[in-house]
Formats: sequence, C-alpha cells, structure tokens
Amino acid sequence: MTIESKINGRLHKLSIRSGDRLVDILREDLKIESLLPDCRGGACGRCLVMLDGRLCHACLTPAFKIQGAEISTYELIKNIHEAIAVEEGFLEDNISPCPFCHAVKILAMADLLIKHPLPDTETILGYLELVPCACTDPEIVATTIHKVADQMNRRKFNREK
Amino acid sequence: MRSSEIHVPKTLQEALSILEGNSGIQVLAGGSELVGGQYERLISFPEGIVSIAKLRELRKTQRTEQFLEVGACTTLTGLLSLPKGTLPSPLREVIGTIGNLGVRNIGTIGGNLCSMQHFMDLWPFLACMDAQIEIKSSTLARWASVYHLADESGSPFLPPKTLITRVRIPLVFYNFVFYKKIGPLGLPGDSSALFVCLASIKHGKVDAFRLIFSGAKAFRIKDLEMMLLGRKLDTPIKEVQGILQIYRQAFARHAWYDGRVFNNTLEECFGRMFSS
Ligand SMILES: Cc1cc2nc3c(=O)[nH]c(=O)nc-3n(C[C@H](O)[C@H](O)[C@H](O)COP(=O)(O)OP(=O)(O)OC[C@H]3O[C@@H](n4cnc5c(N)ncnc54)[C@H](O)[C@@H]3O)c2cc1C
Ligand code: FES
Ligand code: FES
Repeated sequence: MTIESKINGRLHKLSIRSGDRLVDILREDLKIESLLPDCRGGACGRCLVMLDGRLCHACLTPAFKIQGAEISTYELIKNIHEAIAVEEGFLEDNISPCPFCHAVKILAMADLLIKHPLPDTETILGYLELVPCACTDPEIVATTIHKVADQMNRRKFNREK
Repeated sequence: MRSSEIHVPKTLQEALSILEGNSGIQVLAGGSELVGGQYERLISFPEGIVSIAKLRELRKTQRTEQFLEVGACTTLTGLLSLPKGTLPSPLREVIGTIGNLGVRNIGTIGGNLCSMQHFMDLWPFLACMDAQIEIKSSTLARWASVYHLADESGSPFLPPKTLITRVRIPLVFYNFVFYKKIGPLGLPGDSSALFVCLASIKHGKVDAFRLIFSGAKAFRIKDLEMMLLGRKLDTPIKEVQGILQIYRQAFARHAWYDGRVFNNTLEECFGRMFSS
C-alpha cells in the first residue's frame, strides 16, 4: 500500500507493507540515522520521534498509521531553540550522552521544554524515563534542565542580566 | 509473512460495519499492547485490522456532577491532561505508572480495558469504581459494568464484533486506597498481577468496600465485600483473621497465581485498613 506523510518538513509518498514498523521505514527508506532501535518494544526509547506533535516510539507504530501525519525526528528538531539550548546546557555541565541515546535524549528534552517551559523535577524525570540510561544520574540531568529552562525564560522575558 | 487488510474508517458507524462484515478482523487503537508484545521485524497482524484511534466520536470527554465520561480512544496522556480534580485520584496515580510517556501518548483507555491476553492496570480500578462501558455493534448499543469484561471463569471477555465506545467513571470518593502492582515492570505478562482495594470509611466504619486481584484472570468475591460493610475499624483481630481466611481459601481454589503473593498482599492491605 502507499501512504503519504510529511517527514521532517517534506512530503513523502511511501510504499509499505501492512506489518512494517515506522522505525524501519524511517531508517531504511529515508536513511534517518538518529534512530537506533534496540528493544523494539517501547522500552529503550532509541526510536523516539514526534508524531503529530507527540513523542512516540517509532518501533510501536505501524507504518500505515502515519498516513496524513507529520513526523519530526532529531534531524529537524536539533535546529529549534529548545534543542539548541539543551545541547548547550549539556555541554556546559559536562553531560555527554553516548552516540546511542544522544539524539533521542535531545529530542525528548526539547519536547519537554516546549510543552513545559518551567518543568518541575517530577516531569523532567518522567521524560528521562523515556530513554533509560545507567550511565548518567537522572537527577544531575534534571538540574541542568532546570537551569536551561530558567535561562530560556529569562531570555524570553528580557530579564537577562 | 502474510499481509493484512488495513481498514481506516472515517466514522464509528463505518468501523462497526467493517467489524460486522468481516470475520478475523481485529481492532487497533493505540497499538501499544498489540504491537508492544511483538519483537520480530514485521508486526504480525490477523487477516484484517480496523484502526479506530482517530475516530472523533471515540475521543470526546464529558463531565457531570456524578460522573466523568470519556471516549474509548482517549489516550492515557489525554486522561492525565484533564483539568486537576477531574480524574479520581487513585486512577490518576495508576495511569502515571503505566509504561512510559511514549506509551501513554498512544495507549488508550479502551485498549487498556480490552486486552484479551491479560487484565491490564485500569480494569481492576474501574471495576472497583463501578464504572460502565458502552458496547456497540452495528446493530445494538448497550451500557454494561466494566466488571462484565470478565467472563464466568474470570478470563477477559468482549463479545465478538463489538467495540467499546465510551467509559463512564462515577466520581465517588474512596478514602482508603490500597494497590500493588506485582511482577516485572513493562508490558504486563504472565507473571504480572494487580491487587486493588478501594474502601470508603465513614465514622470509623466500612461504608463501601471493593477488592479485586487481576492478571491473567480476575478474582473478586462480592459476598465477602458485603460481609465487610458496617464493620468497625477496631473490629477484633480474630474476626478480621476469619475474613482473611475465607479470602485465602477462596483464592486457593482459583490457583492461577501464587497464593502466597496474594495472601501476603491481602494481609498488608487489611493490616493498613484496620489500623487506619
Ligand atoms: C513498554 C510498555 C509498557 C507497558 N506498561 C503497561 C503497564 O504498566 N500497565 C498497563 O496496564 N499496560 C501497559 N502496557 C500496555 C498498553 O500500553 C496499555 O494497556 C494501553 O492502554 C493499551 O491501549 P492501546 O490503545 O495501545 O491498545 P491496543 O494495542 O490498540 O489494543 C489492545 C487490545 O484492545 C482491543 N481494543 C482496543 N480498543 C478497543 C475498543 N475501543 N473496543 C474493543 N476492543 C478494543 C484490541 O483489539 C486489542 O486486543 C505497556 C505497553 C508497553 C509497550
Ligand atoms: S526500539 Fe526500543 S523503544 Fe523502540
Ligand atoms: S545510554 Fe547513552 S549515555 Fe547512557
């Protein structure tokens, strides 16, 4: 069957099978490299994408469901303010996610700041659960995200010193 | 891998007609349960799929003084986003423990109630709360208790060729809430179960009491729930032990889950209630 959807800002016509997962179509047909699926069961978060504005696991999404939908991956999101601010915040605080989770962590944190410009710690930890990681203490990441959110809000309201 | 026919109806009526006219067709809402348990490269679907997640009729929310009514395709995130105080607090709490944000963004309340492999997390809560579901086929529509999603043997059951369209949740306040998720984290499976007890305590007496243990099957004894009504919280320990013993013996006859786990959880629950 053929489906049409907007992926990273461009309209694509894709030929898919009924059992195809979105993650495989994005990686193999569209060569989107930020997705590195591991568990294929909604647990590792390495296939996170934005589907019509919501964070979703592309491994759990049958490809036919994206007919008429809009998908954004890290490749697009990395250019928005929130993602740039998170990258800078991570750099400043020496948080360097590994190559397997870097892209999806930035994507998740950018979505967090879009939806919750001043997130509380519980909300941040909830988002971090999307990409479980034994290498970085989520509390440390949360402290950085609070800082990033605070700076973004100061800038927004011209309160920068 | 055989290919499946994918139906994406535009209206609820169309979805019901597709279900009526085709056998071997399965409903797909968020897909998190159907797809989540499969790890092969291609998802294996039955002959046909009817995808209902985008049907507007199944995403409406309404609140009155007595109840909250939500469309079956309301996502779990959608439920959590309802204004504060709209969703009864034990329900809000348990929804927050389901999967992770990505799963809750696609998983629906209808899909949670209709898993035919296993009772998922919302079923025991909504059954304890006496929630109702609207069940529709192409020819009929009726309301039934959520509890009727279990058949006589306690297994999950939904009449064939039907859809759950709405869920009506009474806004009743329980001041004793005890629940315990048992088994590994993640998609509930054979070794998972949920113990839920909701009670209303008024003037030191049990005014309402519900207890369900669910997993692969469901366990509830309505007669025993009735026996607890009117009991004082300072009921002598011997009497409480008597009730526990009836529960233990009844559960042992079902034997679909390790009785020791049930018994320990039951004791913990009663211990808290009768000391509260
Ligand atoms: C990583 C992971 C963790 C999870 N953790 C939990 C957890 O902790 N607790 C929990 O309860 N669940 C958990 N789940 C399971 C699942 O995500 C939820 O139960 C979710 O609510 C299912 O909704 P869905 O819309 O995705 O269902 P689907 O997968 O679309 O459907 C599930 C079943 O319901 C039927 N169905 C769906 N909607 C209807 C309807 N309206 N009428 C009739 N039949 C219908 C389908 O045919 C199917 O049999 C988890 C899943 C994953 C992948
Ligand atoms: S591949 Fe692990 S969550 Fe999708
Ligand atoms: S998994 Fe990438 S830093 Fe831990």
